[in-house]
Amino acid sequence: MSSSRSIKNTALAWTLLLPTLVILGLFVFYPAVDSFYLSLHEVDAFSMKKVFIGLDNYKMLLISPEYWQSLQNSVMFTIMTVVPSVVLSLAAAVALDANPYFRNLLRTIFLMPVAVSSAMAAMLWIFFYNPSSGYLNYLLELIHINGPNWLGDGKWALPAVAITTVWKDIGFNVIFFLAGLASIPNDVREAAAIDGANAWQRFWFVVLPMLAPTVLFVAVVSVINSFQSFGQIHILTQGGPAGSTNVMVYNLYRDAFQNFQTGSASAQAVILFVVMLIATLIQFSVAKRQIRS
Amino acid sequence: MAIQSTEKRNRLIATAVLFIPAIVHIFPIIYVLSLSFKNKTEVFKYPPRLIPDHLALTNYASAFGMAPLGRFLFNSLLVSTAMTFLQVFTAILAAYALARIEFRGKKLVLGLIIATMMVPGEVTIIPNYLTVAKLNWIDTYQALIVPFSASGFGVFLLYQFMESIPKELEEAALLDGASRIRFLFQFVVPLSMPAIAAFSVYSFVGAWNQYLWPLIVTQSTEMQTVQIGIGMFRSQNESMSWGVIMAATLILISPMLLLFVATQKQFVRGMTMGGLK
Amino acid sequence: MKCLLMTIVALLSTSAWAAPQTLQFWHSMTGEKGKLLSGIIDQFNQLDENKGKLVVQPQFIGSYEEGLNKLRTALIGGRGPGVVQITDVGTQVMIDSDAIVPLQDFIDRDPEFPLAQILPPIRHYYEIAGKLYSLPFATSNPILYYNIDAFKKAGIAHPPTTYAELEADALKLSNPSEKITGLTWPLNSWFFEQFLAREGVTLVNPGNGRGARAKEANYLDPAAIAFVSMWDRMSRNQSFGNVGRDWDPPEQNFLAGRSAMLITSTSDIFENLSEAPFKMGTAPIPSQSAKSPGGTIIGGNSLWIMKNKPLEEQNGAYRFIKFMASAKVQENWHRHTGYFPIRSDVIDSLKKQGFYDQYPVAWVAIQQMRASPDLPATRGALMGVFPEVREHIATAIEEVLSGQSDIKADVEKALKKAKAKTDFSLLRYNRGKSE
Repeated sequence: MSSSRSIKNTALAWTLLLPTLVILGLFVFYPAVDSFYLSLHEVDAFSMKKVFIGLDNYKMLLISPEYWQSLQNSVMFTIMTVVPSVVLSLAAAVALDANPYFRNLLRTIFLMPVAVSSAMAAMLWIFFYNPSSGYLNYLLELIHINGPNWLGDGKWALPAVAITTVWKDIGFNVIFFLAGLASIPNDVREAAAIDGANAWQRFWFVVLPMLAPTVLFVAVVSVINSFQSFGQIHILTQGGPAGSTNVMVYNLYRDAFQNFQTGSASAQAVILFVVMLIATLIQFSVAKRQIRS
Repeated sequence: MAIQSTEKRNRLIATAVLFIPAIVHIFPIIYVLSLSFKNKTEVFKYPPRLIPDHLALTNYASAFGMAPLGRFLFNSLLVSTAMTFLQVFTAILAAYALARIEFRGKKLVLGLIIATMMVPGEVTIIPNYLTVAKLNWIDTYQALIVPFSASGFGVFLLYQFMESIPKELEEAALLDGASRIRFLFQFVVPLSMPAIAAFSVYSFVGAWNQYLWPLIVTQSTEMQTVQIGIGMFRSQNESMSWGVIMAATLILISPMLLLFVATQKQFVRGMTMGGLK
Repeated sequence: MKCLLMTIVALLSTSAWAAPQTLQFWHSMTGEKGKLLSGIIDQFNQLDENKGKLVVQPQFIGSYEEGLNKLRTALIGGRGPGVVQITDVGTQVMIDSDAIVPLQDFIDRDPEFPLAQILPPIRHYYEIAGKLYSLPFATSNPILYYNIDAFKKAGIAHPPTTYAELEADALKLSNPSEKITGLTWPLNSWFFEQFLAREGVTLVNPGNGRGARAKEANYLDPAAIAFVSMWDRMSRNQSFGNVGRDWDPPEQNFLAGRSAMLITSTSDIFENLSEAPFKMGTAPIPSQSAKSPGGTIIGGNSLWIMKNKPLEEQNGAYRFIKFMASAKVQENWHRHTGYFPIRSDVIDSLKKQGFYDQYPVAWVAIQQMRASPDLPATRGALMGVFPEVREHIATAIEEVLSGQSDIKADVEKALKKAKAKTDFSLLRYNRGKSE
């Protein structure tokens, strides 16, 4: 009686799981393994003929000037986006949390970029950066600074894309910081106030330590997202000028889908995955050390 | 007494301090709105003024003339809805199997499904592209929808939620003779609605915002989604001024913005789902 | 019953009932040229030998990158066109794709193909080791357009022939306070390639990739440094108008009288002639000295026959290509676009008809093309990574033009960087491929 039911159950279970397993198997597992497999081959652009070349793709990337530039760009971009966005969204969240007036309106305003994709964020900012008629250079001129040709200048293109990205990410990060702040019980803060701590001391010594897990989480997610940033780069600069915004994922896209270098691009995908993994692990270990101290 | 007044003072400072960043924060949208009503000459007038001298209402009509905006919106809606529905549906089935049925290999399957959440898109995109090309699905709706019609994250989320539903309810219903499937859709799903709703929002927004995949699998203009279609407006030319470009941007950005403003709480809850990952 | 069935089968298998062979033709021609092309295709489809048997269906596939992408995904899926138009720089990629049938294979079997009529400079671009791979179709050269009225006003008797004259004339003709420049052209690697070829210098080595595969860039050749330095000098003294990468703005500037000279493709000759509100002349592009060896490289695109089709369709493709190479089509194409006819007999016929007396500007272009000596440099570079390489060169030029100073070191530094990138791209492309 029970064994036939368990057979029926097993059959039912596998039937229910089948769609998910087929799709995930075909479009997540298989490609993950295949990427690694392709990275060890020279793959012909049109015929897809494969020749095993071992680690040559990886070795070649080490001597590619454009690849090194993309690595550098990705790291710079991550620093330029994650640090400001975490700091600014934390500040905004704290202010929003403490503020009782116009609560809904202010929250809606700060959270709103969450509804904006990276491509749309880029479109919202693109004319801002216009060197002669954009508002940004106009504002700069009001304080007597001659604004550069943001998207056309090798020095300023990456910061420009970073600013757009920070703007977009603040919305997302504020949500998490607000949730984190909400989870801090009020009596802890009140106790500190009674003990004589002022607002700044309360924040630095009570709130922030309790918010540490959220900060870590937001930082990790932000780092991973910044390494995967693509849409805004494709819209604003297409990797230029002179490769200054050619980040790792953009270089991958170009090599895979414009230069048809399937093997080399697959190697780049594997390396990108490892880099993100390492960045995440580093952040966790740093956080662990902070928590201990 | 002293504490209350400093509290009040802090709050007022917080509000004042907030308003300036708030204006800065929302400025891009205001700026684009202003640009969308400017004609060719006004756009380049210096110094720039936020309120245009002449309202160029034709920009919005021209935007529709430049590219099939309605088609882009339709494509995005179709693809996002289908993807969300399929992800939710497959996740409900799979989560129920994992949460309620004991079978050999369950732990392994659960582990594998969770493992897929760790795989970033870059690692799968090239082989998926080749698969889709071999299937002759390039430039079709299938290519946009099918590869993302299941979600390990969705399964995991619903699995956790379903686990928390007391088993006794089900055992009672089964003893009464109900089939498991009926029980799933009549009881478990309604009880899981909070998780399903949140995941649906997360899934829909994610589908709507997808960029790289639609970029590489669509070739014709008619198949492009909103995110890719806007790329046609990336730079001005003879027939397309910045005013028109900004109008197009606002047209294509408004569905998501309106959805956000209308359902802010649920929207936000859905986006925080990504945090549990 | 059996009789009835057999009759039906017999009827169905006669050519009267057989559906015509459809041949997909993928191309990138827009606007007027696209319309002209459609007309030519209609003519082919209406020929008696084709009616009901062969139908060519044209399909516009966008720019070179878009088109090549579409071709690639179609081939991976086992589909694709029967004939495809590919831009000149895609030649090596197409040969390496193993997806085409060299045109020579058909020509060898068909003594009627007018191979001898095809002008050598044009033929040599698409010919490797004596094998013609594709049919040159829309073919052009660079040429110097100049505003005769402006020249007269400035007291310059004839268009410049050397770099020194070019710089001097451009300076004389420019007026920075009124934003008038003496010379303009788009920021594109094409000019770097052409001016190098004019000096007989190859773009890449060995031998421009024409014998063995190209392995390294030749950007540090003195001719390259001299050309980029000249460009930089003229940009800095504002005798050269830098209007960015697009091809339209410089042409618009020239036609609006804002630049007295323009170097661009010969394919715009008739259009510019009709649109210029001033007396317009053409001249060969200048060389470093009067003794410079070398000449110009032909550019444009060519038509390829695809391999993954049944033999009957391939033969249909060849018939179509032969039609495109016919004197009538070539004359029609040349008369209505600025592109060269690929056949010498068409040129001779037009000359006899007085066509070039009516359009001397076109005759200058034809003579420049014919005068180009046969060197690896003028055959044009052959490499699979041409688009990437063009980006390397364009970036280097951008860096020089926007750089701090115009000293030689700046030019060398930028070209060195570009060379490093190109050498890597070539190295990576050549892996796993035969020589």
